[in-house]
Amino acid sequence: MLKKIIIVVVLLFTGIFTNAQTLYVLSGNVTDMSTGESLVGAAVAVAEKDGIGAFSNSYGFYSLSLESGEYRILVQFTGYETMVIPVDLRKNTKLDIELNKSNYEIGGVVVTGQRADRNVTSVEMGKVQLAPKQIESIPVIFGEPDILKTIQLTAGVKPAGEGNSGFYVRGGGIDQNLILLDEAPVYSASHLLGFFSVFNSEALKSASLLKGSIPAEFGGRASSVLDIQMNEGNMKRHGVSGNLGLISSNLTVEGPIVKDKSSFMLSGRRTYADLFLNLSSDDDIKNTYLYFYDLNMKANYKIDGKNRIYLSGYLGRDDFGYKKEFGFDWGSITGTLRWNHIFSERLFANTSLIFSNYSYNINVLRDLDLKIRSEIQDVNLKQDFSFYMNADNTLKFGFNIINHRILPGEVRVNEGYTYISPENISRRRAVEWAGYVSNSWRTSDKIKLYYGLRLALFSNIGPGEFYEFDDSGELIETIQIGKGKSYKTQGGLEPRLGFNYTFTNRSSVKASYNRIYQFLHLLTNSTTTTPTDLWLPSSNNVKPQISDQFSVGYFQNFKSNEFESSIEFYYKNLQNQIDYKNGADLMFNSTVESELVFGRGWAYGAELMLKRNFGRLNGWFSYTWSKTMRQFDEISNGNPFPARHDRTHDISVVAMYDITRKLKLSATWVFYTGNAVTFPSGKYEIDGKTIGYYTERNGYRMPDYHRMDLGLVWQLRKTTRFESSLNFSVYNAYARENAYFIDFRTKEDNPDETEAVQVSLFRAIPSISYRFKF
Amino acid sequence: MNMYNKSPKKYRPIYFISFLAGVCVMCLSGCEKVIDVDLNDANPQIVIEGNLSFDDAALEVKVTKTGSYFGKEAAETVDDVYVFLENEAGKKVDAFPLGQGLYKIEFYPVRRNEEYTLHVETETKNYVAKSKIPAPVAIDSLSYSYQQEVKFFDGGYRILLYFSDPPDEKNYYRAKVYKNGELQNETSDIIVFDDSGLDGRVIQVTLRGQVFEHGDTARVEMFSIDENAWVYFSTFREMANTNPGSPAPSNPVSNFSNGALGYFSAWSVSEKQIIIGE
Repeated sequence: MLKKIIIVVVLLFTGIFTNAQTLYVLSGNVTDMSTGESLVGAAVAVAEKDGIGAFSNSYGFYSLSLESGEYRILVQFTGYETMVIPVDLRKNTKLDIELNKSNYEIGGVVVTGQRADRNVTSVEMGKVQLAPKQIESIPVIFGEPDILKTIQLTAGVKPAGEGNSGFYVRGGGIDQNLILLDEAPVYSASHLLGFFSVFNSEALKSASLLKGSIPAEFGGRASSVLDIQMNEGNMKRHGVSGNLGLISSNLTVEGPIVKDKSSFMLSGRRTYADLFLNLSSDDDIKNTYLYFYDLNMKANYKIDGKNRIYLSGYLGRDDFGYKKEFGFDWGSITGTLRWNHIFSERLFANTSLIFSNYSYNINVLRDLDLKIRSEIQDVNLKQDFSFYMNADNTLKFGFNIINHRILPGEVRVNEGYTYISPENISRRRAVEWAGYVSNSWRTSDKIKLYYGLRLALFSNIGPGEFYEFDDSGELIETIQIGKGKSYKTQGGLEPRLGFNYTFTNRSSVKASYNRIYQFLHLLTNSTTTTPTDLWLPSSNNVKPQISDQFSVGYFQNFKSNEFESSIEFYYKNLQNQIDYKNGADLMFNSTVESELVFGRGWAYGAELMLKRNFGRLNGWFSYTWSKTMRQFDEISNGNPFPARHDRTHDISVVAMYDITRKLKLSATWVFYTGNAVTFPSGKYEIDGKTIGYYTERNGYRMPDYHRMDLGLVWQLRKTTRFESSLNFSVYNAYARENAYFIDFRTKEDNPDETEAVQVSLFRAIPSISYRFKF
Repeated sequence: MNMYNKSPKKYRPIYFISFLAGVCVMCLSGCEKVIDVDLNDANPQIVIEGNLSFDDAALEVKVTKTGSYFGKEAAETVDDVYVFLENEAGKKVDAFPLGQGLYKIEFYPVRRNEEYTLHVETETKNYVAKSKIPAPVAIDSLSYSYQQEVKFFDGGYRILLYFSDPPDEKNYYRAKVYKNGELQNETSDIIVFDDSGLDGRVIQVTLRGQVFEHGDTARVEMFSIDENAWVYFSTFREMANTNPGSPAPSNPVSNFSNGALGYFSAWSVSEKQIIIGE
């Protein structure tokens, strides 16, 4: 039996598909004519052959195998003019394609569809693609365009809370999203308590969220992948663009280093709310500082037609403090060095060396001189190959080795004045490695298959201390592991499958299955993320989280792809989920693993999406019905309970309307069922104090949430040399008082009686910003 | 003298984050309003508070029931249960019902390091909890220090508590603070600490939560308690943390069997008094 399976697998991956006819390869790069930026996901189709075509990859490279002949090659990319190129294919041919931006830019597609019918014809499902340039007009809080907030407006993605950039995908946790910035994992994606994401949209080229079928080249997080790419910089000429807002401003400079060979992009952003704090008459506020900044940079160099190097980096930090007495700063640093190499027309390779670091520091100088530091740092080597085997098969394979180093918490106190005993928690080291192979196979005009397999493993590495606990969580043994020695290895095989049956170019049915292991777990003793949350590696006490997701969907486009619609169903099973014992102490606790409880989770739902791609009025409507459950032996007597983010109904409406060529109005409306919460079902007295009696976890609901935001973009000038616009927005336009939390407490004037108090965060927030580009 | 400080509660940056959230809430015109919430009324559950005092050689037990959360009447007391105490030798002594949910054993010599079992029996259920009296530890002295008003803390006098921790054993403590004779009794006034990292040393504890002014009288009672009681009051104190990002609330971890709420704690106490500014 095993033999047969092996034979089938080998056949699947090596081309069953020997074709008698000689095939030639048409390959090259797709770029923007005016800037030289490579275009990701552009469709390169053959007019004479229905269904034959390719999409440019993350670096703009495409490859197509065809029999010899004369063809018309059709190249399409949203926001660009479609190009038709006649090709006489008699040998392997390199064809670089430059596309021209369409003139009528305002009113372009919002959530890009690349090739207009890609959503129907590709095997991918549960994918959302966003181009930051095209979301500028969607109104957001504080007038700051934010890719994470826009993604929350799509089906199956739910915000972590009011104004928060954290998100849940299809019932997974916030830490189950793999957020990649130029391939580097970003461990904390938010600034200022989540009101801003770390992604400065001026510096970004594209973002895609994979929530359904997740290709084998990605792994490590159980729920989704958010793959974000930075701009490469204009190859043709220098440019400056910026955005001046009430809360923050940013400035981007880009241009060629050597024309058509290399370019750079540098973008910075800073908030200046703290400047207003200085104006306050209250000394406390005056002496408080609170700001963040971001710096994105990228440079690339085309060595020759076959080699290209990219260097990109991100640095962002939040800083909060009071006089010189107290300081708290946190942030991420990432760096990526990439080398694209084209071995042949059919074999494309990318090698990446990736660095990622997240840390926070707390300094309390006044009379105790306390310093706390915590850090997680990755060094990652990634090798990916794409082999465009023939017209119908694209094989991808590669490997990935990540070295994790975690400093859970280091507390230093001024000697001789010891408020707390200095605690040094053993550092954690681990190696995560993975290898994968996958194939996309177009078996016929009707049926496309995707199959892949990823092996993911995780080993704890010394030096470090590991702990054994008994059933009640008492420490029974401490195991010392020497430097470089591995202690525990866990992991397994992850199958990834996809299927597409296309009825016509207008409609299709798709199905997919994924398994994903997650080895790093975010410990957060609160319901949203905070900068001091701790990443805990899997170990002898903590098993990796495993997610299995099945999804099916029906996709149909109407009126020449003017309208897109889809309905998708998913079922996700999550193993080894983490929760906490009552009163768990998660910070600076070397035996934190004994404070955890382990259980399982499952989620299912239906997502409906209807979108109008172009026209004066465009936008989308999405509706999600879902259920998200958790079950732990230690919680609610072992009964299943809804996860906090179990929101039954979730609706988003996004509409954009061109009033004139210069004025564009936009509106969004969101509605969702209130979070599941734990409220008291009674009260009693202990020690003269009245407290609530809790009977079940998350047995109640917050009030339903709904909100409308409005935006207006007024284009002031637009010439080839200079563009400027004013952007007005109102967050929560009808000033709905949405509950942020509900506090149960005794009445101040009568301690014998109790009351429930709802706290809301925001009423309407207007903002204005000025955008320019030259 | 080797002098160490110990903060009653582990230092937690989370408080500062809550403050940060607070700043945002203020700046951005957040608002509060009393709302109606439709709560289910759970079946009444028994609540037992059992205190066995080494110093008074007495047991006092209070038995009540949970009530409706928004109910206006006082907690229902339970006067028809059978309460008795059992020592390690298996000797049982009945507690005398006094009415109002109170049960008492007036004279009961308590021996340190002996484990006592409290039984509360109803017609249908028996609730049992155990507690052991740790070695009595005396307060050496009290002092106070003036702290300027800084972010996160009001300005004023804070009480410093000094004691010698018994060596080679794990000790748990609870403190109660009286200001001008009045017990400070909010949930946030619960003070519990232990000797981890400072075993056998002279320990200084700064009582940060209670602020005094010049001329105030401060009285501090320090209880030596066992681990179960420490866990109970530590988890009880979490209730005071009602910040927006707090974890899902749950009942304090009780040492009673069969789902009874409350605790049984055997303890010894030491007290001292100080007048600020003298």
